[in-house]
Amino acid sequence: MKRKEQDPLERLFKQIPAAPLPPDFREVMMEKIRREALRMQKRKERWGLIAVILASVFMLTLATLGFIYLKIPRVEISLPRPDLLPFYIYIGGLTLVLLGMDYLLRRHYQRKQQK
Amino acid sequence: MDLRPYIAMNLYTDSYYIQRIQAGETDCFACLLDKYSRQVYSLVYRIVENREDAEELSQDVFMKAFRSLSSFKGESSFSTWLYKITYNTAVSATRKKKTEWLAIDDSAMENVPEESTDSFFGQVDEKEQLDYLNKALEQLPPDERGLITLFYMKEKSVEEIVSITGLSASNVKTKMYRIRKKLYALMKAMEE
Repeated sequence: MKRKEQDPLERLFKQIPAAPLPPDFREVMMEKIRREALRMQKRKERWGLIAVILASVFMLTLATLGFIYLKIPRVEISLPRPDLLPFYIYIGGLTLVLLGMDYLLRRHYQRKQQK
Repeated sequence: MDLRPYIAMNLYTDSYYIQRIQAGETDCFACLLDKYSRQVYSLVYRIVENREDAEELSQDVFMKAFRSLSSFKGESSFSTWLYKITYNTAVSATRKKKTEWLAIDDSAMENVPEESTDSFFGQVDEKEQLDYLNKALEQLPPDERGLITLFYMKEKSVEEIVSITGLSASNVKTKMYRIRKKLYALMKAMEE
């Protein structure tokens, strides 16, 4: 469809003023865009985390099934003697106490450094 | 007036900004916004004929464009792609409102020969013609208003209108012919 050079409608349409944009349109729009970008980024990270968790669970399940049913790798597990259980609890508790003290001392040191 | 934003937005192509936005530089969207916001708003306003709705729908258009930017493969120009979103968003919104439009009898349109339209434009004052045109446009259905605006105000070719509206080329040409006839019939009726 050719545009007639003397098309009166075309001449009239050219005279219709364009509707003015609201003055704060750009600012409002960019604010919405930034929020949307943040939302999309968080959603991407969430899906990424879900994918990593699912992949890890899948691999662990495969490894466990392989270990139990296919005996891969061939490992002999010997259970500890029951009379040594108090000793193991003492060692485990001592480790936890030392880890806790390490954490508290590091936090105390970092706070001192920040001041 | 500070012309730097206008100069800056024309220094690079749309593809350059799109690539940067897709790479995470969200603020580059402002350049596309500066370039197309007036055009989008004016088309939406012409279709919905309400300032508040036009502002809201224009924001919807740009949000849809931003969300779908990763799916823009460059098969058409960015402006055609954006106009497609604009046209569909505006027309869908008017369908939800279900406003009744003036049904014009086909015979009334057929009875408007080209010669009388030429004489109409020759006799009527230009300011009045503009007034009649604006009133006649209000009486058209939204999709037809959108089509005629794309053709005359946005100066889109038939091929671009086909991409924007999803209609076939013959359908666009037929519709344009009928819309022009309708406008002439309405304007003639107003003059009488």
